[in-house]
Amino acid sequence: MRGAGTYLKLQLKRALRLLPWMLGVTLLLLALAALTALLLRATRGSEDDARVPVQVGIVGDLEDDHLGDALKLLEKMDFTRFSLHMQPMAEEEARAALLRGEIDGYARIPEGFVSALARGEHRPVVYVTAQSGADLAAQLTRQLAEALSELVLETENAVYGAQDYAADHLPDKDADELGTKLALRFMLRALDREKLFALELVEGEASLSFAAYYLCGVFVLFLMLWAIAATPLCAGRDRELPALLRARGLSLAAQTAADFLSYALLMLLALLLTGLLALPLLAHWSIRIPELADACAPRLLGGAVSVALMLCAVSFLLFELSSGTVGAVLLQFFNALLQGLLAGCFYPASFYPAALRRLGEALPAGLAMTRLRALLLGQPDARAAGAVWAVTLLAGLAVWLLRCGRRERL
Amino acid sequence: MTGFRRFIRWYGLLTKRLLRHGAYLAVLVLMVLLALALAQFKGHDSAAVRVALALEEPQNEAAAAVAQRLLEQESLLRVTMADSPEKAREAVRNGSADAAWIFSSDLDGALSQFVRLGRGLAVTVVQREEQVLLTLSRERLFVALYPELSHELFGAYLAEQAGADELARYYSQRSVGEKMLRFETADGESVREGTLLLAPLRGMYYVLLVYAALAAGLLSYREERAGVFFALPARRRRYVPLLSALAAVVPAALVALLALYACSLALPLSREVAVLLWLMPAAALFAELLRCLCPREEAYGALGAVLSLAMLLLCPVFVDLKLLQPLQMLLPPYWALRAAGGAASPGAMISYLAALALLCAAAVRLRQKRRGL
Repeated sequence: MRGAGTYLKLQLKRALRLLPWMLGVTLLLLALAALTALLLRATRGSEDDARVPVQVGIVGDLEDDHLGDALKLLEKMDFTRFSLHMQPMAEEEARAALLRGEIDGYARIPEGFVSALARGEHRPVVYVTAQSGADLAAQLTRQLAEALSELVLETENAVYGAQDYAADHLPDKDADELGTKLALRFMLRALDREKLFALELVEGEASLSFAAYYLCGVFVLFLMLWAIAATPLCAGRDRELPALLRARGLSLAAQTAADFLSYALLMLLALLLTGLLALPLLAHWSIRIPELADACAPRLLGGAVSVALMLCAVSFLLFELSSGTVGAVLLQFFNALLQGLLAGCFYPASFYPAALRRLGEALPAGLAMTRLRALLLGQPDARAAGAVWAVTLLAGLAVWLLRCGRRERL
Repeated sequence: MTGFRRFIRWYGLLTKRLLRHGAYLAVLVLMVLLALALAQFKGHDSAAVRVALALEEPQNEAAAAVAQRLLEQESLLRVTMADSPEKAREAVRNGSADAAWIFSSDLDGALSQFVRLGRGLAVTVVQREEQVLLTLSRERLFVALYPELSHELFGAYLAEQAGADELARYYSQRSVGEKMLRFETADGESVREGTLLLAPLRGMYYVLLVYAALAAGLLSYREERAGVFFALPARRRRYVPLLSALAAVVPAALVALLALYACSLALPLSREVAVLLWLMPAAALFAELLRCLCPREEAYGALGAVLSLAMLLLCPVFVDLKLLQPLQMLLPPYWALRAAGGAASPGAMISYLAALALLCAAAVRLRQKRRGL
């Protein structure tokens, strides 16, 4: 028993040596976040104009007046979080600006585009863009652009139809003027489009606010990635040491418990201190998480600790499974990426097909998300809480069994 | 020639040492398995917004046509038909839909009123809260309503001019009938249709590759402490960690290439190879530079955790936040992702690599000097 106490004390000492580095780096991360927020405020100005500017270059045949009007209309349309800025430029200039990341893309208007449309000829506008890995934003932008092009096509059908009609049936009217006036009417109605909808907000099954959802996601992702910082403590251990200690009377179960406790304590302390640093910052940046104010603090804290212990137990098991430092670090990182992706830490899990959603929910990170959601919403969560503790115990047991197996081989 | 042979021999030895580690091999296998598994879900309905559609009057032709248009489109919206407006509302309440769009029983009348007065309630939108994605999804709804609206506006306008007849014949007489926009990259290739699920894979693999180099750096601290390469002359020993990082990166790059082909995300082979040939030395140099700057293994390990988050958030892996471009430009995956998307200038990429190499060489020398070697 005394041996176990001494061993625990030594392991705790080793673990706590890492704490200042982890906190230092966490401070660096928070400073980075603060810098981001400051820069965002500085570049976007007031809250009233907190829209993301989308810079688009326009190259090619811009001589037609109708086209100029249409581009002005697009700039005036309200896309909620995006403001469109279009700059006419030469193609070479636009290409260079795209490569430098100064514009999001450029539209190449073909020669005689408007007159071709008037004749019913098809000369598509080419939108040149960077195909990045971040597909959500790219797909949104593309779909928005496609939606706009559908609007323009339908408007053209009507405007040219009206001009043709005027030419055939209304000899006393100027067909071009008629078309222009109709185009203007279309533009006015497009600007008024929200008046077609009646928005009705309903109370539903309680769900987390956007900010609270991402708080859970970042919490889970942080804990999984922080395991990497504990590599000097847990990876590349001397595999013969447990057998040696056991020969000195320290059981494998006691060693496993002491190793896990020291690792978990390090993570919990880092988490607590980061929380103490981050929460005032969130308040300072006016990021309101209403669920935090309404939640029962002791229950929330207890639940968060149980989730943290589970994620620690899983990463502890991964350290035990990996034989070298490189493998251990990569495995931890891959684990964080995979579980983070499937459990909805990056995109909300509701984006995924049902089968994948269920798989994500069954993973430790998914269980953590479910438990945290229940805690923040103040819902009963006996099943999730039981599952969290079960995974923690199973992971601990697996580490102990692995060590026992290794002892047999030695 | 002897120098090159020596390089290959050392490189082979360092690679063999890594491949003996089960966890490293397991990650390589898992990278391919992940791509294959996610590719299986490619055809499944992943969507950013789920909408339940309902018609107050199922016999209304205009409403049925708009609903059909919405059900047939391929987009980030997953639209399903609810049996009744109440069931659509219930779907929103119980969280199985993000929004319900309930078409008015007199959709034509509502559109006609909108055309005349600039207001007319055609669709009741039911949501639990207002969100950006839901607001953007209404743009799709407006586009689906637009042909009916456009016909209405056309008819009303010409009726104002004179008692117009045969209008339908004139509408869309000169229609081009095809898509007006085509999407291309700066290299003139068509932009591929992606899925939410597979899209981040390329970025994830590029970050993982940089991580393989960072992990090799952590191993080098231990080897230095244990004096593993102590028998080598100091001048040669200084390059072992860099070679070790490169040894960790190359198998991961090959596996990433295989995985991208396995899930049909790969670009033309020449571009894939060019990007990886750039990323491999960049990742190794980046890791070695950080290792030289971090005095201790603990600092390097903790920095690795922060860098992982920074790379995932700042590089366009999941979402292109377009934030802090000067910081983004410090990270190798940012350049690699831009290059893969055909939006990075070769000159800038070569300059980045050269700057990394120079800084790394200076940092290695400084470190050796500090240690009196």
